[in-house]
Amino acid sequence: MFQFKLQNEDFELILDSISDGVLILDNSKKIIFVNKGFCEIFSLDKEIIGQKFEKLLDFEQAKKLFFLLGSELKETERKELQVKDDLFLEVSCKTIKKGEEPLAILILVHDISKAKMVDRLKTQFVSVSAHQLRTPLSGMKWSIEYLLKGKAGSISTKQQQLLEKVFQLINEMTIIVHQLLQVARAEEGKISLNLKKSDLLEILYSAISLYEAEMKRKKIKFQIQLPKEKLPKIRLDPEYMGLVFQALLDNAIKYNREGGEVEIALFLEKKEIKVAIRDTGIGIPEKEKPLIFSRFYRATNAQKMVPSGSGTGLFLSKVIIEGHQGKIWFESEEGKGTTFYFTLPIL
Amino acid sequence: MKKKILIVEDEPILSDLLFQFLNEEGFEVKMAQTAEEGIKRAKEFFPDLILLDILLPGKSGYEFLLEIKKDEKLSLVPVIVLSNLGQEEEIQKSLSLGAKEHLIKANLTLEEIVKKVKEIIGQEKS
Repeated sequence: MFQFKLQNEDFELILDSISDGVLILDNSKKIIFVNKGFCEIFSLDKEIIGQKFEKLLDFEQAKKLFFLLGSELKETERKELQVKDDLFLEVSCKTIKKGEEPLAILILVHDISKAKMVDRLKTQFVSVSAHQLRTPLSGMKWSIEYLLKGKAGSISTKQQQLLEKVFQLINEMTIIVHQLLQVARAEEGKISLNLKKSDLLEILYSAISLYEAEMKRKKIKFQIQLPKEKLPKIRLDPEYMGLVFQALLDNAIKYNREGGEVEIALFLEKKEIKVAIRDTGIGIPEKEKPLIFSRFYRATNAQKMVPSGSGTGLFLSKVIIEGHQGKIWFESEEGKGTTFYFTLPIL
Repeated sequence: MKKKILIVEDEPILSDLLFQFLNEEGFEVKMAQTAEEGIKRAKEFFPDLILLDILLPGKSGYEFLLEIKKDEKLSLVPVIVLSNLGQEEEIQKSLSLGAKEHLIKANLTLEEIVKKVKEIIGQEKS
């Protein structure tokens, strides 16, 4: 096998040719190597070699790296760090061992600003588009309402039925636009909950009422099980919690078979209320389970069964439940059904 | 005497439908397409309530609110913001500038808007 050894200056040449930042420290946390990329990212020069890691505190941007890793240089794997308004980094820190003995500490810094910018633009695009969609939706909704009330002349029964259908579709589209806006907000970290003592059951029944017609059409056997004790009012955002129930119920019905079952059970536990929504639908394929709460993600079997869908419901539900300090998870078997669970603390 | 409503809305289909609906409900209605025109109309017409959009050509609905709050008489006229902007900070901004309510157009029917108008005018009367 062909083998060769590189000289120190060759290493430097190679590492200086990459745009990622590399900084290496010895066991006494003295800087023994820094590449050009690192110097450029943090606006410092190679004179820092030979100094202690604390020296980074003298540099405005590098200071943030020091605070991220701490003086003990904790092991870090691709952690995000915002250095300036337009400078985002991914930082890794690892102790390199030779056998059992620590040899050096390696810090790798990767500039992710461009990717962050694209993500931000995408979020803004979704947000602006959703706002823009609301105006024509309002125009359509109000026009149909005007026609349905017979204010533009009398309409036949058939026309009335068609207009009612269009009105319902516009409302569905308004909900999708609303969800898209919420996703964009969640992405920006701007979801703000308006918590007030609320009756969870009232919110649940209101969500169920939206799906009664669809359950009847699909001949779904629906059951609800409540705890013996009266549920206490808890601090939550009723509007957002309504979205969670809608998303979970929508999935439980939409991806269920005709004549299937949907069961909602509520449990009053010591410090929390637990909700379970069980269906006998298509289930989630094993391989796709880790992705199910990702934004815009739709399982392949779900896409096949119902081609249209935004893939926002579960993503939003997770953001909302976690925003309430609760937990959300599921159990599912493909072809048999899924049960989604979530908890809400009693506060 | 008929109650007077001023609609400040730049989208003709929306203002026309609002106009007709409110008119048929017995209100006297005037329309303006910009904030500047709205302020002029408000001073002449002195409405009992203003329905105000936020995204308008030229000055925004927020600027409209700021201006009428400086006018001694108009500052007392209740304003319902009727916009398709509906994020928390946008709603808070409307309310902090003195709007009675901030409603999202796409979420409401004309009937619901009329109900809200009647509620607020009723409250103002008492």
